[in-house]
Amino acid sequence: MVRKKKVVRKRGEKMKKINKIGSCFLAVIVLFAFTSIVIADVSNIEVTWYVPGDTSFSYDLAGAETEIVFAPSGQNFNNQSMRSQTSAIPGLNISNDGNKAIKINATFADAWYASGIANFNMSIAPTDNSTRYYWTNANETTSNQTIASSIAQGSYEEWWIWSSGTGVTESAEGADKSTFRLTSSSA
Amino acid sequence: MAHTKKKAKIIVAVVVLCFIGTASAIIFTSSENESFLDMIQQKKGEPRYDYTGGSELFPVEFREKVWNNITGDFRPNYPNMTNEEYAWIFGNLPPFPEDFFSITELVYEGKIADFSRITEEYWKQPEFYTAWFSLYEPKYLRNNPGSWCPEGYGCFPLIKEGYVDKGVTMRIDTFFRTGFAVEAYQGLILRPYMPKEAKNVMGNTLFEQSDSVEKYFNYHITNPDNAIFTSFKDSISSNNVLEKDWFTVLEPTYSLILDKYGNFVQYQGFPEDWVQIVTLEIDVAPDTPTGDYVFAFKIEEPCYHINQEFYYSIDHEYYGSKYNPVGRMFKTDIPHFQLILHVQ
Repeated sequence: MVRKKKVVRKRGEKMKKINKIGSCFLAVIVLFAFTSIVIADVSNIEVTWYVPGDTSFSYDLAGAETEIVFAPSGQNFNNQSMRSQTSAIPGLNISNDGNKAIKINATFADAWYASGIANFNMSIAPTDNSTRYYWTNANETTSNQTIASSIAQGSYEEWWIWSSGTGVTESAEGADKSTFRLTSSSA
Repeated sequence: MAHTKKKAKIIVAVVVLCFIGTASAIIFTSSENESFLDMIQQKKGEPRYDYTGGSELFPVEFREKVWNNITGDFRPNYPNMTNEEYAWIFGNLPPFPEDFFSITELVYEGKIADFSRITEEYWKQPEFYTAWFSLYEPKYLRNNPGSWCPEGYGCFPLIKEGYVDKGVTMRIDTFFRTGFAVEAYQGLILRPYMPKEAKNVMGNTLFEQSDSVEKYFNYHITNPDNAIFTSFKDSISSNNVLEKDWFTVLEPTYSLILDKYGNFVQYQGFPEDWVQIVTLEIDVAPDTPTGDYVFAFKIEEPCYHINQEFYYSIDHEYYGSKYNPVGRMFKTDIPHFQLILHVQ
């Protein structure tokens, strides 16, 4: 009688074990089924063609500038160099880090805010009388000029920058700033 | 006892049923994929548009594999590069694979459409990007100490073309990288959008699309996640990061490490994640008209409140004057990445 009870208890424990294993297995299966449905839902777009091109760029500014800044000592200045620029250090240097030749266009996004600024000049040589590209305070500020017709992949171009003005006063933070915009496109 | 037996039988039956169900679901799904792949195969071979417009794209500069004793892998032997320079320029990158140039050549020939097959050992090497061989000397070995590089980035590849069915959710990847020898921590917002026109490499219009097509798609960047933005967004009063955007601060690819007194300690080259996979996920509505659509990435300058966080913060890492919010001064006339998607 005691033996029978023990056998029954053992069978009961076995069943419990089967139940536990079964439940775990069921949980795993359900989880697996759910995951496979989710995976099947979001897949990668099948790419049928791609262009192995790259328009990466980088540019350097003189010193540690993050913008083109002029810091004249007075209100009147003539061919004032961009801050931190020297004959050995160009104000701006654009590198073509991509794999196709690019041209660079430059313009001001809007009219100059500071009054008295006469011009903004750029050259690929460090002497101010070699100016090649210029914007004046007339109606040319937003004229788009090609400052580099072709920079080959892996090459760079350097520019020196100056500005002249008369009676220019420093205004509140940001008020005398204008947005100079460089746009690269395929050469 | 009988009850327990019954319960066990039911569980076994359910398990078997689930197993059969799952197996048939898998078979059904894969057969669906096969038919989809068959369909794609039929359409492969010719691009839908003249994407290059006759412009010349330079391939990778192929080099024969040669063991490099200094780096202990197959990285090219650069003339005039010292052991120290190898260490600081490439030290944080994965080992250079033996078959690097043969695989990379296939990528530039357009033969490897599935970019998930290429591991980071390939696309994290600067040699993967063709301009490297011309720029490593002026930018890394002879860097001008009188200037610095506050901005530079780009994507590879430039354009991808793909097909999808209506009513599905799909993903597409591109490599987004920092430019060579960038010295700033660049704060930027990468924004997916549907431009008014698809453009080829020359900037010519391939096709136009109206703003009204936006209603058929729900799209956002899912990878990398927005961990940096999430860490501070609740502490600022406003921001210009949209749900679909990715805000990031790209680490410099060239730095001078200084001690607390400002004395030079060492140079540092490419950080581990200087190239990242960016994933765009797109839900295509079931009622989307059959046709071609274009998606692209653009760079947006972070707003004033975000920038303040990185000039100075008490909540997380900040970069002071080495932080530079980018996306204002320099633009490209075509997006850094475009997806031409044909919905059928």
